[in-house]
Amino acid sequence: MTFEQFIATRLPGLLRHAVVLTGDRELAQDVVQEVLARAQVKWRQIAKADSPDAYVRRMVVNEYLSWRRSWAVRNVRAVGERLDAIGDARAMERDHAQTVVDADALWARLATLPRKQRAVLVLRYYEQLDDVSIADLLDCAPATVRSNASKALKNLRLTSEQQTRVHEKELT
Amino acid sequence: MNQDADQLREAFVAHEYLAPDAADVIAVVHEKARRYRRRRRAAQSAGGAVLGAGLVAGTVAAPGWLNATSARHSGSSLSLAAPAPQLTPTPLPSPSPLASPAAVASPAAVASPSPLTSAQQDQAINAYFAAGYDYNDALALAQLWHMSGDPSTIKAEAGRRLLAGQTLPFKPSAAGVATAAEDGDLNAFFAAGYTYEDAVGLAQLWKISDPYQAKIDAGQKLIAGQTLPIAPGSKPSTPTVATSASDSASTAALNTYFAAGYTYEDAVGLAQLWKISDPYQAKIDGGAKLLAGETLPFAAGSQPTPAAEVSANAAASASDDAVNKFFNSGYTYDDAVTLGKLWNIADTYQVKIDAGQKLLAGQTLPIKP
Repeated sequence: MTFEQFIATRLPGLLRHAVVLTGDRELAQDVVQEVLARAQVKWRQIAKADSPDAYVRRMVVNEYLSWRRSWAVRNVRAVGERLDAIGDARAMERDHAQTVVDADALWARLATLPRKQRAVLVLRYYEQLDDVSIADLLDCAPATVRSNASKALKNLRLTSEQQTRVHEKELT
Repeated sequence: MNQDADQLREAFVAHEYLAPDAADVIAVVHEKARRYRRRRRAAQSAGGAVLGAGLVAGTVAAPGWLNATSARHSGSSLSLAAPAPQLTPTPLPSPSPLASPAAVASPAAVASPSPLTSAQQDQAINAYFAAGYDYNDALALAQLWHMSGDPSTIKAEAGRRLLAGQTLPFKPSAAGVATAAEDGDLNAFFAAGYTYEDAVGLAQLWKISDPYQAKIDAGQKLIAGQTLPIAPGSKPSTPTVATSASDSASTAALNTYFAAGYTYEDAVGLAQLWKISDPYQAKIDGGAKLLAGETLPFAAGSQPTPAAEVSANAAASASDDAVNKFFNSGYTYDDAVTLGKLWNIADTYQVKIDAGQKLLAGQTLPIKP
């Protein structure tokens, strides 16, 4: 697969993955651009990988986790916006029980998570990876993945009943 | 299926629409990659001298907190005083997250990095990037140093060593190391009155293919007090081919190319005709030819969109049809997850597209809605 073919067939999926991972359209664009620029320069190496797609996604996750440039500024601004959004979402939750609103509210709460916790949730629930695969991807122990997932869910302030179910699942 | 998992998935999937526009990304990627390649070439040619200069500067500017940490590490077996030969980082560490669990339990770290404050870590990471190292280099360093954990920690440790005046075991693989030196060389070249056309002439004289490299080499010679084999401004303007033109020449060529009505698809066609791999370069070459009064092998806008270069919008439209078919047939997100596992595709959205396309083609899926 050439780099051009990779872009043509995989870029839309990669961008969706990035925006879900980062929760920020501009940051997703920055991260993917940075990763793909590096990937293009080293494409001959990457093309030899078993799955260039998985390899590039791994680069995206790690780039997001180690992203420094403009992060602080953007994050401060974004968190301010997000806190407003949480308030709005909570107010709306009282009036509506629609799935879309719930999803928006949860999305807003997700934005307040530390990056690693968010990444774990995305990889586990969006990418459907098991904890061992996530641990491999994030270069940490599976126990760390479980710990991050548990903290993330706790931070999301899910109901105690829901938390109990999650913890039971993690203990198994 | 766990309700929380469902809620999270719904929240994620519901916001996929926020994904940036692919066309916007592609344009920047090509430009950035081009810049990285150029810097890499410059870094390779400037080599250790540049790195050394950067490290000397780093040592001079080293903050006080380094003294303590340097002293702590001075006896370490990882005190890398003598640079090892160039190592091309080939990390590729079992990239597939779906592959079997990596049993690569990292050996115990030979030396663990000193705990740094957040500010110190930022400073060290900045030094790491400023020296031209990147994420892939951090992976390679992690392997060499038998370190595991957050890549930021490895970058911080590497940056700390750079600031302490130590060298890393290999040169930066991609971006940036020569930026300052590169700028100095270029400034010396242009300050002496030389032009891009002179660089093209010098490149021909020195039998190097890249005029940009010629500028760097020439700048270094000028800084060293040597003279160049041609006088400043002695080469006529209007290059015939702008294979690696300076940014300004490239920009002019690109503007001419697009002003003449040529498109990206035309560039792909030109790249195929001229047997060059990069359509971006084809645009520059094509623009340079147009600037030189030449004509291109085909009319502007005459090239159809190649299959491999289907635009994101066209692809999105086809994808939408397939996804609609998938859901209209009664399948759900959970079905897509199940199919993804069956087909070993990590991207659930891609599964919906693939499944929808099969349904559109009259095929059946391995599971019922």
